[in-house]
Amino acid sequence: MGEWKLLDGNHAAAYAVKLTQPEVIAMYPITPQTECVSYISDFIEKGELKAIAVRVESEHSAMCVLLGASTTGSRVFSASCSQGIAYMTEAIWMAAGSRLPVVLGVVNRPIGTPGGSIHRDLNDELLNRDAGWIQFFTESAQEVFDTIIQAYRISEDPDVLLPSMVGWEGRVVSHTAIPVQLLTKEDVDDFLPKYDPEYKLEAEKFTFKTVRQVFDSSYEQVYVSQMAMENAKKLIKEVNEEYGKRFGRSYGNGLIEEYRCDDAEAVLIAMGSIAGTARVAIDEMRDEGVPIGLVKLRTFRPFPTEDLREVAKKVKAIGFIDRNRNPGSPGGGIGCIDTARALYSMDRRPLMIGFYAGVIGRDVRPHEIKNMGEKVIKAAETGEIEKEVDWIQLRE
Amino acid sequence: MMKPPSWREVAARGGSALALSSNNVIPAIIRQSPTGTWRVIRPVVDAEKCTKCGICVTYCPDGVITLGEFSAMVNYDFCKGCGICAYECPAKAIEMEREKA
Repeated sequence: MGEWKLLDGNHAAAYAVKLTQPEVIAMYPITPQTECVSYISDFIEKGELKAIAVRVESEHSAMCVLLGASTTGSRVFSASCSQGIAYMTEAIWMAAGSRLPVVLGVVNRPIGTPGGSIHRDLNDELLNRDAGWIQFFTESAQEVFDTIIQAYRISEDPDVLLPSMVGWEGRVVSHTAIPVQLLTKEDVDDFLPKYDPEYKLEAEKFTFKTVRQVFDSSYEQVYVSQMAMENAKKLIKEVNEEYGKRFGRSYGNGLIEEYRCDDAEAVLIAMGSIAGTARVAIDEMRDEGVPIGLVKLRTFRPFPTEDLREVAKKVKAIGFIDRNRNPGSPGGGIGCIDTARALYSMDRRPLMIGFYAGVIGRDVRPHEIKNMGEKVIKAAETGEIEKEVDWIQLRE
Repeated sequence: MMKPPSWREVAARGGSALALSSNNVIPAIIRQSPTGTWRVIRPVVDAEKCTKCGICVTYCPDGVITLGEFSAMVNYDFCKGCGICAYECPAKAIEMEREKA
C-alpha cells in the first residue's frame, strides 16, 4: 500500500495516470480540468512517467491522437470537460465503435449557456451516453484515483475492449483536497497487466492508412458491443471486489453502492458528489427514525438494471436526483428516464419522482436532500405522488 | 466469394474493424472501389526535377505516392487530387493539372 497524500481530484487522477503508465497522453487545457494534465506533464518533466505528451490544438485532435495511438496498441489517456467533450464527441464515438480501450477523464462541468458555469453538472459526460463508452461517476478524489486504475483493467480486458470515461465533478471533487491513499508502483503493476492487444495496427503490415472492413458487419458489431457491455457489468463487479481484497477499498458492488437501504421504505438515487452529501442527509433522517436509504450509481453505462430491480423490489418509492438538464424529456432527468425503463418490466413497480437538483452548478445542500427524502417517504406512505418531476431548488 | 461473418465470428475476433480486416483481403476490396474518380485536378510529377526526397510520400494523406526508379509515382486510382504533394514539394517538381472531362 502506498503513502497518504493531501490531494484534490485532479491531482489524484494525475497520480493514478502516473501509476498506470500510459504511453501516449494528449493534453489540452480547459477549466476545471487543466490541472489534471498539468500535473501529469510535471511527472513527465521530472522523469517519473515515461510517456509521449502531445500538446494538441483542440479536444477533437486530442481524441484523434488517442485513437491513432490506441490502434497501434498503446495505452492512452486524456482529460477534458464541458465544451471540450462536446467538441471531442465525433472522435469519442469512433473510439467506442473501433473498440479501443481509451481512458478519458471527464471533469463534469456544465455545457455552455445558460450562464457560463465552471462548476459541476453531468451533462457533458451524459452527452455521450449512447456512444458505447463505459461511464463512471465518482464521489471523491480517492474514488477518482481508484477508478482510473480499475478503468484500464476493465477497458483493456479482451472480453470488454470498450473505452471508459471516469467522471469527477468540477470544483467539489476536482479542486477539493482530501487525504488520498496511493498505491505503490508494485501494487499497480501487479493489479494491471501490460496492455497487449491481439489486434493492432502495425505500420509495416499496412500500406493504406485507413482500415477498411472486409464486409459490412456494422450491425453485428454493435450487437457485440452490447454483449461487451454485459461482460463489463460482470467484470466491474469482479474488479471492484478484487481491488477491495487487495487494497482495502471497494465501492458497493462496483456498479451501485447501497447506503442504509436495509428496511428502507423509500430510496433516493444519486450520482457523483451528490451521493456524498446525501449520506449526511440520510444519516440525519435515519437518526430521526425515517426509513430511507441511498443508492449511488457508480456506472451509468453499463446501466445496473438488475441491481436496481433488486433495490426496487424492497421499496415503495424511489426519487432520482438528476444533476443534468433534459428539457422536453418524457419526465425527469436522464437518470430518471433510464431508471424508469429499467424498472418498467417489474410486476410491482415503486412510485418514482424525478428531482432536478444541482443543475448547471447549483450547490445541493443536505437540507435540500432531506426535503427530497421527505417527499419520497410521503409517496411511499400515501401511495401517491404530488409532482412526478420536481424542480426542488426552484425560486418562486 | 467469402461468406459474411455471423455475430459470433465478429465477437470471436474482438469486434473491431481492425480484427475484421485481413491483410490479404484488404487490397482486393480496395481495388474494387477506386476512389480516384472524385479527382478534379491531378498531380503530375516532372521526373527531371524530382529529387526522390520522399517528402510527398510522407505528406500524402491517402498514402498513394511511392518512390519509383526515376521519380515519385502517383497511384491515380486512389489519388483524390488534394494538391498537398505539389504544395510541399521542395523541388517544385509536381504540377496540378485539370482533369479532362
